[in-house]
Amino acid sequence: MELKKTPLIIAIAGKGGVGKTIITTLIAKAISTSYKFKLLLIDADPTHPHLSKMVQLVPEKSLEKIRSELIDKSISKEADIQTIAETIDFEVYSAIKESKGFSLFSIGQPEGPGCFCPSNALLRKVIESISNDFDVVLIDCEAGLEQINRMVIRSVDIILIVSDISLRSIETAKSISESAKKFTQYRKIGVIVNRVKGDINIILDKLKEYDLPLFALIPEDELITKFDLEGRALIKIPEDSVSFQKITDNIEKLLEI
Amino acid sequence: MENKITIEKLREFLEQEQNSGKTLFSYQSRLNQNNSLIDSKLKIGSNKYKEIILEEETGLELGGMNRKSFSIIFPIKDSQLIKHGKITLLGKEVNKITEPTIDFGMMLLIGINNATEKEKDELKRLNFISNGIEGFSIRTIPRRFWCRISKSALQKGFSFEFLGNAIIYLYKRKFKGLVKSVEVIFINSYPSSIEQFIVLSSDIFSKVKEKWKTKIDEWRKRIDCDYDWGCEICPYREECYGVKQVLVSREEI
Repeated sequence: MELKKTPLIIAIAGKGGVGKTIITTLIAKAISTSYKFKLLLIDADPTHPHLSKMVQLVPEKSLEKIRSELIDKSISKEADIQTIAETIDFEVYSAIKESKGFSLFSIGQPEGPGCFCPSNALLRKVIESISNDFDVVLIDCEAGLEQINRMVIRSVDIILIVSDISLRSIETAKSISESAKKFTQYRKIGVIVNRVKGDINIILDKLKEYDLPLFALIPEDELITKFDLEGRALIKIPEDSVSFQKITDNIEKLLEI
Repeated sequence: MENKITIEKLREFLEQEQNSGKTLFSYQSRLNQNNSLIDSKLKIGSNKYKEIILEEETGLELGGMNRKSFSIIFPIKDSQLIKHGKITLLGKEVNKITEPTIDFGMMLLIGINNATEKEKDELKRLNFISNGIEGFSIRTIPRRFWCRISKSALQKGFSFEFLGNAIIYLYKRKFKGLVKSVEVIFINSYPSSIEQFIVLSSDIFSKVKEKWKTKIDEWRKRIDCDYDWGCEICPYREECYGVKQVLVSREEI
């Protein structure tokens, strides 16, 4: 199976605590299990970088670390500008942790004060260049998309907003969608409703009211809770888990195959 | 005319290097009528080999962070300048290399029919090469070269002759109708030769730089700023200036 366009860049956003990283992990598992696509995961949540633990890949260096070193080198003239410019792509690429199924790159937490603007622009260009080596790029964002717009990538193909079955998270989905229309270039946007149980007609009505397309409904999954409480990496969840099966059922629609 | 002079300079350089005692191999592509590779145990196929080659699986790394490298893809309309199917290797064949990583440079001369700018840019993206050769994986770094060859590919007889043939096959297959001819030049093991080759081929880069100069100038103006370009009040002026220089320098590479 071939993708219509590569790389296919998917950003996963949503209110804190709705399960963005869980959904990112399940999508990564579905892609790496069933397709021979080269997959890059970007953990773009600086405050809660859980993705690396969920997929059991911990990069040695974060983008923030590279940025901090870049600023130091530029000021201290430790290396000349040409040398820094020639090596920055190598450094960012070396920060990617690889496995047979996928690769992972972490933004990390800010390392201190310093001007962000040109360093964001530089690192964004490097990441855009590196992304071309992959078929699919999944970006696990903090709640909104501001971080990825500034630091990671200017445009994405698909924005997936994760919500749970609370009106607050649907309201947040609406805000993210409105913000995306103003500040992000994208082709498609939609919502995945996570932890579904009981009657959710009110939620579905709200999605219609806010003109938010629905990608998938993911049921409440006790196995995920069990894995979390036992401290087990979610990437190892069995394929018969109800949430994983639902993701798998919808993956071709998501990847536009 | 300029292209002819540049290519002749490069060919003369290779000849001089050979005459100075450096090893030079010259192969001719062994593709059959269907553009399939003859006699290879290793497989080639469009988009069939997207494997990630992990560090522990790597038998040989070409180029990379602490190595000299270059990657020049040169589309040319005058295909008479190109010796179609020729693969030149200045340096050692794979079976004579003992180090785990080596300096490496690659130049591809590609004879094309009329091509748009977009098509020319597409010719320079090497991921289809990476995805099309068993046991071989390229990491895209602008103007540089960095790739891994797996241990199992080495055991199956991976060679630079094979790599050159595979590249020609994949280009002809992916760009049917657009690509008329392909010539491949590899340089490894001689860092000074790599440096000189980069200098000699700089005419190619200067044309590209000229083309992008306006774009870079426009784009320089558009870098975001949290202080709305109020540099006199910005506490990070020094860092900003330093990083902006790196940013522009990278674009010019």
